[in-house]
Amino acid sequence: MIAPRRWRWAPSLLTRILLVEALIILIACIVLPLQARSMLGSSVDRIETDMLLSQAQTVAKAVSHDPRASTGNGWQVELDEALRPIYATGYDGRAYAVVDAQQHLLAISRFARPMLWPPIGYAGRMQRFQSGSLVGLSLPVTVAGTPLWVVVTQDQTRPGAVVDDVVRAFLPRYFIWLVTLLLLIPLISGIVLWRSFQKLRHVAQEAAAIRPQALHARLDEAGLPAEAKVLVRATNELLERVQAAFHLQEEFAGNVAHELRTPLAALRVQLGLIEDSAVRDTMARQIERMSHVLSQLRDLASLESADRAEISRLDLSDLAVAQVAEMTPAILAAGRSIAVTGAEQGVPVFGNQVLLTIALQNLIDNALKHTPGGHHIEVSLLPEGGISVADDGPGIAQDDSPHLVRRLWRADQQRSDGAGLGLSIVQRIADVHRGRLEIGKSALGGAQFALFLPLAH
Amino acid sequence: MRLLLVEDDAELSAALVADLERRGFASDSAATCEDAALFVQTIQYGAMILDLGLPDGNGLDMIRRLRAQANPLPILVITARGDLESRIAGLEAGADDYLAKPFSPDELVARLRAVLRRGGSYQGREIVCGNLVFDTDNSQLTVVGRVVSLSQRESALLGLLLRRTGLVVTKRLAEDQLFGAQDLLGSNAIEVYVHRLRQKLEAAETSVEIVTIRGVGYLLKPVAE
Repeated sequence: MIAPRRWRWAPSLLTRILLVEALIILIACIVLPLQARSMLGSSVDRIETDMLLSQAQTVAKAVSHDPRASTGNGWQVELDEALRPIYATGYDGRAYAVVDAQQHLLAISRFARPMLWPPIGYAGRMQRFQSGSLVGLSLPVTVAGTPLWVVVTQDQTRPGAVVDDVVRAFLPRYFIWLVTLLLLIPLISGIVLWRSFQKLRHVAQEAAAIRPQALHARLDEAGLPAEAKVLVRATNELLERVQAAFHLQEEFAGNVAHELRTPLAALRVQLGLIEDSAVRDTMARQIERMSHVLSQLRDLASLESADRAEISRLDLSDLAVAQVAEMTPAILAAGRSIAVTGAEQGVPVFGNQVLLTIALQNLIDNALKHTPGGHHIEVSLLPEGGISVADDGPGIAQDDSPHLVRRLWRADQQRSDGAGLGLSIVQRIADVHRGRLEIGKSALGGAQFALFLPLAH
Repeated sequence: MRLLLVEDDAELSAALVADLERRGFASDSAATCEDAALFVQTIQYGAMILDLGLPDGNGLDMIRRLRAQANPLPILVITARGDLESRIAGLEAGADDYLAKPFSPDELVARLRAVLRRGGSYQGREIVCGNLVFDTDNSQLTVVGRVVSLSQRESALLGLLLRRTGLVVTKRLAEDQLFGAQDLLGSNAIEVYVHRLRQKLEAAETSVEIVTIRGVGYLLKPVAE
C-alpha cells in the first residue's frame, strides 16, 4: 500500500545551499568580531604589562639610597637623561612611585597621582592593577637591603598611549571587510550552481523530447557536474534497456505478422473452392481485413528505423504513378476507380523512397477501405511539394480530424479495421521528413489527405 | 508446360497446386532448396513460383545460383516478407516478379502470365484473352476466327497490354516500347493509339476492354459479365 502523500517542504538544492550559507554567515558575523575583540584585548593587555614591567624595572635600577641626602629619607631615583622628559611631562601619561613596606612614598614622579590608585596589594610578586583609564603595576625590589615596591602607571587617555585607539578603529573596518567577504560566498556559489543547473535544465528538455518512436536519442552529459552525470548516465542506460525492450516487442509483432502470412495465403487460395458465393464473399472480406492489418504491422516495423532513413532527392510524380499502377488491379477489383493528376510535371522533393511509398499506399488504402459508398479516388501531385489523396466517400466529421491520426482510433468506433493505424503511419512518415499531413474536404465531396514534403529545387 | 512451386508450407502448397490446376497450369511442388534444384535440373519448367524462406536455405541464393548458370527460367517470388526492401533485393537477385503473402490467386496468375509472356515462349506464339487471340509473331489479331487488321503500332500496343493482362501498362512504358528515341512525341500520342485500338476492338465485338487509368496508364482486362 502506498502511504498517503504528506506535504513536505522540498526546496531546490540551490535554496538549501543558500539557506545554509546564510545561517553560517549570520553566525560568523556575530562570533568573529567578538572573538577578534577578545583576542585583541588580551594581546593589548600582555603588551601593556610588558611595557609597564620594563618601565618598572628601569625605575627600579635607578633607585638608590644615600643616607646623607637631604631629601626624602635619602631615597632617590636617578633616571637617564633620555628618560627624564617622559616623566617630566604629562604627554605620555606615565608616572612612577617608590613605596616602602609601610606604604610610605619614598620617591614619586611629577604626574603620579597616588590618590587615584586603587588599593594596591604589596605582595612578594609583581601585581597589575587598573582603575578607570589608569593602568599600573607594582614590582617588589630590594635596594640596599630594604624591600621596596616600584609602582608605575599609565594614563590611557593620554595621546601617547595608542594601543586602545588602534583596537577601536580596527574593529569596525574589520567588520565591514568580514561581512563583504562573507556575502561574496553565496553570490559566487549561487552563480556557479545556477550555471550548472542551467545545463541540467537543458538535459531535462532533451529528456522531455524523447518519444517512444525515437528512443535512440541519448542525453548529453558533456559539461554537467559529476553528480548530475551519474543520473544522466543512469537515465541513458535506462533508455538503452527501454529501447531494447521496445525493439523486442516490435520484432515480436513483426514475427507474428510474418507467421500469419502463409496460413492466410493458404486460406485465400482455397477461397475459390467455396461454392456459396455469399459465404465466399464474407470470407474474402475477412481475409482481406486480416491481410490489411498485417501489412500495417509490417509498415510499423519498417518505421522503427525511420529516423535513420536515408533522405535523397526523388520525384514524387514517378513514385505516385508507380505506386498507383501497382495498386490499380486491387482497386478495380474492389469496384472503384483511381486517377493521378498533375504527374506530367515532376515534383522533386527530399524524401525516402520506401517510406513515401508506404505513406502513399496507406493513404490510398485508407481511401479504398474506409470510405463506404465511395467510387473514385484521386491522387494529385501538388507543385509546392506535396501529394494528396481524395475520395468521394462520406468525408470526415469536423470533430474527428484531430483524433484521426491517433493509432487504432476509428472514425466509426464500431469498426475495427485500423483506419487510425494507417493514418498514424502516414503522420509518422510526415514527421520523419519534417513535412506535414493535412486533413480536409476534397473537391470530390469526401475526405482529402495531403502530405507535404520539403521541396527540392 | 509445367510450373514448379517451391513452398515449404504443405497446406499452402497443396492449395496452390490445386488452384493452379483449375486455372490450367500443371505444377510440381518442392518443399526444400535441394528438391527444387533437383527438379530444375531434370525437368524443363515454364516458370518457378518460389517462396524465399525455405527450411534448408534462402530462396534468394537459389535465384542467384540459377542466374549464375545463365538459366533463364522465369521466377515469381512469393514471400511473407512483404516490405519494399526485400522486394528490391528479390528483383536484384534476378527474380522476374515479387508477390507478398497473402496474395490473391487472381493476382498471382496475372503476374505469372506476365512473367511467362515476357520470355515470349508462353503457350507458343499466341496470347488468348476472352474471345481474342493474338499471334505475337505475325502481330495478327483474330476475334472469333475473324482477322482484325491493325497498324504496326496498334498491334505493338495490344501486345504490350495483353502481356500484362490485368496489370497496368504505364504511359511511359508504352511510349518507350512503341516509339523510338528519335520520334518526337505529342503529349497525347499514346491516347491517340489507345483510342484507335479501342474503336477497332469494339467494332470487332471483343470481350476485352482497355481501362484508362487517368494520369497513370492503361489496363486490359476481360469484360466482366
